[in-house]
Amino acid sequence: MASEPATTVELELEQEQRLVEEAQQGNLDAMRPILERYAGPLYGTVILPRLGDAASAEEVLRDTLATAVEKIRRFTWQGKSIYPWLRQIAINKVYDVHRQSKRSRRLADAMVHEIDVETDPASHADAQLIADQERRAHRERIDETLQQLQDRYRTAIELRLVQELPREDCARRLGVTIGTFDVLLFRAVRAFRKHFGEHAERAEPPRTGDT
Amino acid sequence: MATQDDDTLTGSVPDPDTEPAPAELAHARRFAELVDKTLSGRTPPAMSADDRALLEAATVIRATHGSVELAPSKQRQVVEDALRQAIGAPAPSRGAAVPIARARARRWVPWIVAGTSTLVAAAAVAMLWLRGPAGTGHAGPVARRAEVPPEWTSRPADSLVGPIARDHAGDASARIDAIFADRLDGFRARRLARGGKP
Amino acid sequence: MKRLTRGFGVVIGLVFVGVVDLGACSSERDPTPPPATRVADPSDVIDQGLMVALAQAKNFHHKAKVYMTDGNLTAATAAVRQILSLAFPRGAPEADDVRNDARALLAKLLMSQGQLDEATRTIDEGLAASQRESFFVANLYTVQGELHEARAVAFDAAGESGKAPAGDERRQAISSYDRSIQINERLQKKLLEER
Repeated sequence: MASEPATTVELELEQEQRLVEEAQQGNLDAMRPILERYAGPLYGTVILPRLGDAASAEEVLRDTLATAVEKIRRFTWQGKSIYPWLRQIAINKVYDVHRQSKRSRRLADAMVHEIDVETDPASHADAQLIADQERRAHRERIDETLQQLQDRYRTAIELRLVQELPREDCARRLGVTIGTFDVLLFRAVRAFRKHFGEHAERAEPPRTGDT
Repeated sequence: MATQDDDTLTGSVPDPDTEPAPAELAHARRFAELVDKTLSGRTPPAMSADDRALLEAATVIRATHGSVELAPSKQRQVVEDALRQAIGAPAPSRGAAVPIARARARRWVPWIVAGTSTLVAAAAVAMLWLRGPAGTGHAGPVARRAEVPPEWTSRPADSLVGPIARDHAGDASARIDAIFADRLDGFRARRLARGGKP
Repeated sequence: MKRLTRGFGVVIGLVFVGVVDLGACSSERDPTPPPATRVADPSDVIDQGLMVALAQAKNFHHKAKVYMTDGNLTAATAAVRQILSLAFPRGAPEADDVRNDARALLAKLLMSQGQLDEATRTIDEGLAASQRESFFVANLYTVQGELHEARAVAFDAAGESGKAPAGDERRQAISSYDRSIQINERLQKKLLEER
């Protein structure tokens, strides 16, 4: 878990507040350092894990940042980072994408709860901490599903998609031909997708304050 | 028993030791190539819906393990585009190897030193684009954002310079003269339109 | 089965997606009539900073030209090098173009003084730093091709022992010229489409 000296966090918050106020007074370009700071965590921990498609994730990130700039006057500084606000914009944009998708149209009818990665709303959890918690929460769910797969399927996924080893290396480590490894990975991802879907349908609604 | 191709997402998944049918082998190879391309940053735009669903699952796995990050240059571009989108400036074309900035590239014409007719005409057009006061900060309706002609903007010099022939590879001096003259033209036109303010 | 088809999408929603409306977010309140802002010029207009940088580049180029006419290649090289240190407004596309053009000239000057390694480094750094394709990047590849040809000629002079490396250098020269041609073709097509 990332942690920073309190003084550094305070200084960054002060700078952020100043930039936000400047943007709210009309200099929208003051948002630039804020957007540059948070584009990475928004993309990597909020948008892409929810969409699974890099091109769509980029579009959503762009729209998220543009919306944040357009609506910056509606933001009220509360002594903590603007990141949770940006994050919520991003999640709503992702929801819009899913609502438009035929495959997940049912989502439009379901009011769902978001994992609340801030354990204490009054805390001054900085953006890095929130992003780390979010990434951890995603990974736990993914890992839970991977544990349900057969060993060779789980290994195929870990070697190719997590460690990003070339197919040849993956095949060699599993003692199979490349063609056979391709089939293992194909079946592994199919199995993962099925298990992930079944898990969700059995899952309890997420607890708030979950880390 | 091998899985039918059209049951990719819904059919049962065979055991690892089950011999694959030719159809499954072919599909697996196709998927492997998609994964290959995605890992090297070259996701193909067109694929079947089932393959896209599987690729998304693969990307979710990668993303949660921190394997997929936005390249710094791409991140800067997205931030730039978002600011343009929000502020309302025309955006450079995206997704192409060459984001040539403005919609209509102007052919370069020699900069005219004397004569104000061009500048006056540009100023008249510019006045039609401008709305509201500039930088007053007083209460009142929000001023409309100014729209700016492409000629007033900082942009790539490709359309001005054109392809550089090999025997002119070192003629940077002539090219900087052309770029400077062209941008000075736009700079002065904008200043004139703003009543001489920078 | 259809349930499972949507299962993955559903889990994205059930587990991850929040639908809290922006208006309900505790960090916002209903907007009161916003105060007037100053007119927000797009940040990419030609400003004084850009004109100053372009003027300085122009001056250094002219200085270099005078030195070259005088045959003083060392001073000409130094003048062109200074262009690479000029400060341009952040994000100005002209910065890349002017710097790449300066690098191409610098590499040719270095080549003419027999400093092939330094010339190669100059080109490589320009290609690595370039944010987009341009005719100026294509030009860097052209000069890179010329550098490979120059190395091939140097190997030729070594006689039989230099035959193989000379061949390699010539192949690399062709590869560089090909890259230049491809970039030029793509760009010209793009420009024609945008007119």
